Amino acid sequence: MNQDDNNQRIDDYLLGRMKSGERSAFERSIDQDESLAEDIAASRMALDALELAEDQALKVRLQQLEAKLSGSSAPAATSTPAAPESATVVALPGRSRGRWLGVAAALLLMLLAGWFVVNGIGNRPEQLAMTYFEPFPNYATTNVRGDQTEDATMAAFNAYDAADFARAVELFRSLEATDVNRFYLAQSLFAAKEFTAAAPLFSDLAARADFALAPEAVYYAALTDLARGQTTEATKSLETISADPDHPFREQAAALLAELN
Amino acid sequence: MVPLRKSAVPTFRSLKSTSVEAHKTPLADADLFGAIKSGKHELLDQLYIQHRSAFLTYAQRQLSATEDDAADCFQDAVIAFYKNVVTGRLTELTCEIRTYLFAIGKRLVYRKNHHRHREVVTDPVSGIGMVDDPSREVDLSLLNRLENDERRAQLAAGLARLGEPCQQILTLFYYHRYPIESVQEAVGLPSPGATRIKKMRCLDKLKRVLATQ
Repeated sequence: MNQDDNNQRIDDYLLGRMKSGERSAFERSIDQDESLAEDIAASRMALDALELAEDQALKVRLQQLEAKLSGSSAPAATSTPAAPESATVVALPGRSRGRWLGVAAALLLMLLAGWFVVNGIGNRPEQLAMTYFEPFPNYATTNVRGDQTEDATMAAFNAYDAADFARAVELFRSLEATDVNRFYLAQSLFAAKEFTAAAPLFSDLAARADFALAPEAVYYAALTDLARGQTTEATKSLETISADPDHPFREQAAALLAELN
Repeated sequence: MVPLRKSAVPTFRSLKSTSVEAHKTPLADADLFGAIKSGKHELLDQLYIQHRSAFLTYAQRQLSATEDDAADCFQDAVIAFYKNVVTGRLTELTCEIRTYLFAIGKRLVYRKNHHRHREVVTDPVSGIGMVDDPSREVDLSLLNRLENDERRAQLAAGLARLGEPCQQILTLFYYHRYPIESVQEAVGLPSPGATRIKKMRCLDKLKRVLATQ
């Protein structure tokens, strides 16, 4: 199951869209999968926060309406209650475990990269770039199980999901050149080792402030530079990424920089 | 593919506006229900205006509520009704909207009276316990889970750190249950795919923010 399918299932579960049989089966999965259970708990807390805030916003709206109808002074239009200055932070179960898993994953990646260096493979920039490349999950489409119809967009993403990158390149090139389609075309080109063709796509997308995956495109642009032997440019980009605490590929960039240095 | 809501997508700001924009000719219950179901959240004002006075009178005379408590509970009842409609817990009206609002409001008044240890005059026509009591569908679980003021403040502070447009995207999708295409239109994103990606990243960001609270 790809990440988008997983997110869709979690959404369906939390929003009460599953039928009872499917819901029971999913709850059994939650019982058996600790990381899924943690994800569900975190998502549920996020939805609680959203519900709380919007309930309050609607409440304020109706309070102000009441004030006008009753002729009294309107209540203060605060949309959310102020946080107390000295709130006790309640430790959430599983958060530290999640953090350590991420560190362990980064360390494992470094060990694997080190193994390649020892064996004389990691000295080649292209090999190093491929080691740190993983095709970005398909979040752009929602596959409908059993759906026999397949338009051109679905065909391209299905090829991508099936890791048939040569076919995916051919299909993405026939689609409208939206930012999302270009991003996944660039992914497919990189996976097919067509680095020269991938480079301008990632560079352009990395510079687009209105593109949701621009930070990711910055990382992949750095990998593309590295794969083409442009180690100085790649290093500079990776240093910027690893210095950004909010960057989604910060850990990967730091691990790769350790390899390069 | 979930169809776009039929009505024009209101701007996010209009959901929080305070103008009293009651329709000159109030919509009939079926039309009002259909309009709210299709996304016209601004009609909550009309719903409130149409039934507010009757409920306040009823709650004060029959349920021993103060005027402020009655208004407070009726506001919560309108919000609960709205949420039941958008979440699909209420798919069709089996009684008048007023009956529904009164049933929810009544239950909330009883709850408030209990908290205040206030004696309640028995309401012989309260309908409590009726098989088709619509207030049975009111989900008070969130109220019960979040009665801890400190926890509510933590969640609110976390959400405030999320910023826009993430808060808007997530609220439209998860609270108002907009299909992704309507979120795209409301927020001005280029495609449903881009909107889906943005939503996913915003949710991940919110989860990270709340985990550090």
